[in-house]
Amino acid sequence: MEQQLLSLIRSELCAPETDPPQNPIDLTDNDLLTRLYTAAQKHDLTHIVGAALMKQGLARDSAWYPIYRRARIASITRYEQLHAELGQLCTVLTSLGVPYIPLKGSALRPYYPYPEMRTSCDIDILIRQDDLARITDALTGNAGYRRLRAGSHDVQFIAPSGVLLELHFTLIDEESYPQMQPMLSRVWEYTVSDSENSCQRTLTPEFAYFYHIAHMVKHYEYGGCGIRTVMDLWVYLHRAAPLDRAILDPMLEEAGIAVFESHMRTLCGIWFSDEQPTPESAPLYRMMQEYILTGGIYGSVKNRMALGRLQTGGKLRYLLSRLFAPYSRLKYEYPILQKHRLLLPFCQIHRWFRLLSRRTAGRIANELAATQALTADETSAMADMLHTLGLR
Amino acid sequence: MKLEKNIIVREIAGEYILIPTGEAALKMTGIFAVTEVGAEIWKRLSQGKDEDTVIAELLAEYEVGEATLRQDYAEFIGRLVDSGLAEL
Repeated sequence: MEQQLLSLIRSELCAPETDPPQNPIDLTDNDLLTRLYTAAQKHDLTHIVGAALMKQGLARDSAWYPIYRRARIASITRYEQLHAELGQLCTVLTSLGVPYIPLKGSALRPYYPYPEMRTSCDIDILIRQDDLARITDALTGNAGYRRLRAGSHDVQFIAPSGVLLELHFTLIDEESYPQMQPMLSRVWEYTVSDSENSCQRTLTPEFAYFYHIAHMVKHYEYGGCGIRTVMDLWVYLHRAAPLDRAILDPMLEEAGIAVFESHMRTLCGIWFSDEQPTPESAPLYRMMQEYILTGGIYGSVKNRMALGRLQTGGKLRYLLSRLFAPYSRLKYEYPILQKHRLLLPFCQIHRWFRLLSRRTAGRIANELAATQALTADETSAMADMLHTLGLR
Repeated sequence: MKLEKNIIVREIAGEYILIPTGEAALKMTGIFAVTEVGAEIWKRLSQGKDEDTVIAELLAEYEVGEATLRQDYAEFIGRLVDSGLAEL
């Protein structure tokens, strides 16, 4: 099923004009179609699978047709709503005269075969930290946005239309990624201005790619980066502006992610081009594939638990680390700690009461179950994979 | 007639969908699928054209009788009004 899923995605991403499709799916195999749908849903790719199946002749009277029709309509709706909101947002930022950089989906979408192929849950924009207060006032004032939460590197808002905005003031959490952070903090040195709007900047191709890899590392180390990030990688390599490796490679080396990039580029070639792994490297790429495919968009609970145990050194230590959140994380959940660190014990206790809410308790129960189910072999295999990829 | 602003027409696998953006997205729930002719009517009305102009242009493009087209037009406008996408 995994190969068929990747083949469907590839047919839309890499050769959408190709007719007839290579390796057509048996459209009468309902069990296969069910597993394909479930897998696509995990990665927010049902619209792409739907488009590919419709091209392969999925009948209108098939039980799957209305399901995929809805998925495609939803993807187009999301795109049009995000795109319209992005336009409004850029108008607000430009009127303030502040520089800004659209990130992730907003920046990459134009290079996809069609824009709604690249879905996003929100709009990501990078601004300078010095401008954050003024932008917040403008957004929450006349523009009608509502501020939701602040994190270690971004602030989240919701627009009157319901679209979510993440306003980033740094590209990554400094304390969690000390080796990547210095290079990422130089982001404003690697931008070009839009010819018609000097406030809107675009990352240089090499920095955009480097940031994408850094972002993949962050999610990979958290349990999985999703098929979509590998699709993005393919788009960067084959459809976006050409990359100067003489500029890019030193960035990757400095951030300690060159090995990861190399392996991820190979995996991308295996999935979406005709690259073949060597017999020696095939097990690694099989494991990476399984890790990503089972992880969903943001990583699976099981993967996260295994990684957590590796990072903290055992089941008990990991559970204690979840119970007692470090100050570096709590200060963003409780901004008062940044001025009054002595309140840390009280914030910990308040956080425990929050954890007892029904939704969080359910999530914790899942995490505990996943931790119990992990075998030593699974944890060890994951450690080997991370080591080979140059990750922690 | 006043049309809801911020509506975009998109074609998906041979169907046409009216997609709300901005604050229209909060007012409109569900999927509003239209025919190709409906999409053409919406586009022309969005450009500020009146009924007679819309009918005349569509008669030039499609092989359909005027009476049928006017009936389709009226039904389409009725759907828009009922869905809150237009006001008479």
